[in-house]
Amino acid sequence: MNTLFRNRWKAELQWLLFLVPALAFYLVFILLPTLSSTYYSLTDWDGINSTFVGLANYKEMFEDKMILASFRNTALYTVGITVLQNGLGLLAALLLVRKFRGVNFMRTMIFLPYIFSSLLIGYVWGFILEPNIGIVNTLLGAMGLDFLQAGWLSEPGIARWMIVLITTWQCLGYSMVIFIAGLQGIPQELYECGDLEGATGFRRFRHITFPLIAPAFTISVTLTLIGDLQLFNQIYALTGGGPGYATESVATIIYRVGFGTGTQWGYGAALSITLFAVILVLTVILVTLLRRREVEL
Amino acid sequence: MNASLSEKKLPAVWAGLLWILTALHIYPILLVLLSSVRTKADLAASPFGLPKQLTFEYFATAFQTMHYLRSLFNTGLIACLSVGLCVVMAAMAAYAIVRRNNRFYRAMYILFLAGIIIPFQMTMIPLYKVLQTFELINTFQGVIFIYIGSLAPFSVFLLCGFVKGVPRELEEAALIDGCGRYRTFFRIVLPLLKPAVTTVSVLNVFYVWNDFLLPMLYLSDSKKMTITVQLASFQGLYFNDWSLIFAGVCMIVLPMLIIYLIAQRFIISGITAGAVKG
Repeated sequence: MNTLFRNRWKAELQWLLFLVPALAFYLVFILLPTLSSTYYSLTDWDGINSTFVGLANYKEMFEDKMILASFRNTALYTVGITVLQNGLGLLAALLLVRKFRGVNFMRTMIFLPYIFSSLLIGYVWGFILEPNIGIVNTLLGAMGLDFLQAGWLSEPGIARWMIVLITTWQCLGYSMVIFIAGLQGIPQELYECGDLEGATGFRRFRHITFPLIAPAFTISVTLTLIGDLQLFNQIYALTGGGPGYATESVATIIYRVGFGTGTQWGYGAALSITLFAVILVLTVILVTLLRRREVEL
Repeated sequence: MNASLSEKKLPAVWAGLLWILTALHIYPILLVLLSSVRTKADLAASPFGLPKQLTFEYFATAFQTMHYLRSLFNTGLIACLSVGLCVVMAAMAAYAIVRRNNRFYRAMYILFLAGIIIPFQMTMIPLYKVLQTFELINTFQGVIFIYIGSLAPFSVFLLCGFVKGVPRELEEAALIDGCGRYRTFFRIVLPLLKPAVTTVSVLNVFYVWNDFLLPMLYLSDSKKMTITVQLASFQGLYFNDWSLIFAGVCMIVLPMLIIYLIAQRFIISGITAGAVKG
């Protein structure tokens, strides 16, 4: 009896040792800092001295024009990129799932930018959109369309959309690849059935294709959303958050208050908690909605 | 009428649009390649033409300014160690989670999943404190440990899916033959997981290679800088020297391009895991 008990514990311990290494690194370097952020967000901490200030940081946030602008920008970036990237990705997948000459080349080239650092992509597009020697303005000038020339990255209203479009350009292939896999998983017989029932064109897409790629849709939309809410590199490379703070996202503003213009670490922590709360709530809502759609099938 | 989606002929309008989309994806890459071998004057005169004469002067300059060999070594070292260690640990954790599958392990799985939505900006500030406590600021170990922690959630998530596909019978046979848990895992399970481990490793290597904020914050020592941080720091100095920047971009991207061409299959299978209902 005693040895049996001991053996069971020994087995449990062995299993636990499989889990512990990964868990330890995750706990110490990710979860612990995350949790301590919650405490720091209630303090006025500059990296050296900290005093407890309660919810003052959170109150300040809602009166800070720069912060409110960054939340508005993040909303625009997230909605814009998620919709465009998944919409265009799906369209490209629907076309590129067919077999024709050049299809593999097209898929590879459209996917390629995704593997590169978004910082480098930012530099390249920064050159293309450069106002004086950039390709876009030069080309417009050469075609006599001078009136369309613009400071693509210096006029806030345009610059924000450039960030959306360039990120879409880079990550479109990622969604496309997921959707192609989803489309390839649809059994051929269903389309044959659909044909007999007279489902063609858009109706076929609406009632057969779209419901059946639901798992691909869930993954692509959810991961895009999570990534876009934390958009950083593109902005850092393209506009640096400027002009002023007109194109800052929440992620870049946290960097700015924490490491850029000052060391308001307590304030930065409060911002990061707020960002996390937003991501958590949106992810849970989105996954619940999309999963329910999957189950209904 | 043919029912299959994949065999229908593509109307010319759509084919045209696809070629435009493809061209839009090729052009910036060509631009970088062409601009990096042109003189500054040539580039300023006609930024979208072909080079009049080739010059490799910028590659040589970028090679020196970025301390290419050293920063390439630094990045490679960080990427290999953090990804190698993380993937083995994640595979072990995934194995325990899938095989035990009781309340505790399921809770641990959820705990790992939560890590996928934690933004780096959230840990960024307190991590500075953690690294100070362990005296890991400006050390490779510090950065590697953080990468192991931050890559663990997604790796565990992907590997759990793959472990479910490993048949139990083989392990049970080994256990009956007197093979211990660890030996069973390292001799039988891990080799069976090789395609999955490769997939997860490749995705993680890309993540580490392309990451920039973490090494910029915690590895500011110029001798330990990673390659992307080197480029970012000289981008600030030579702001308008586009040829030089593009030569640097080419040199950073080259190793990843090679890995991509070799391991494309693994990248695609990692990205699409979960996209089709099993």
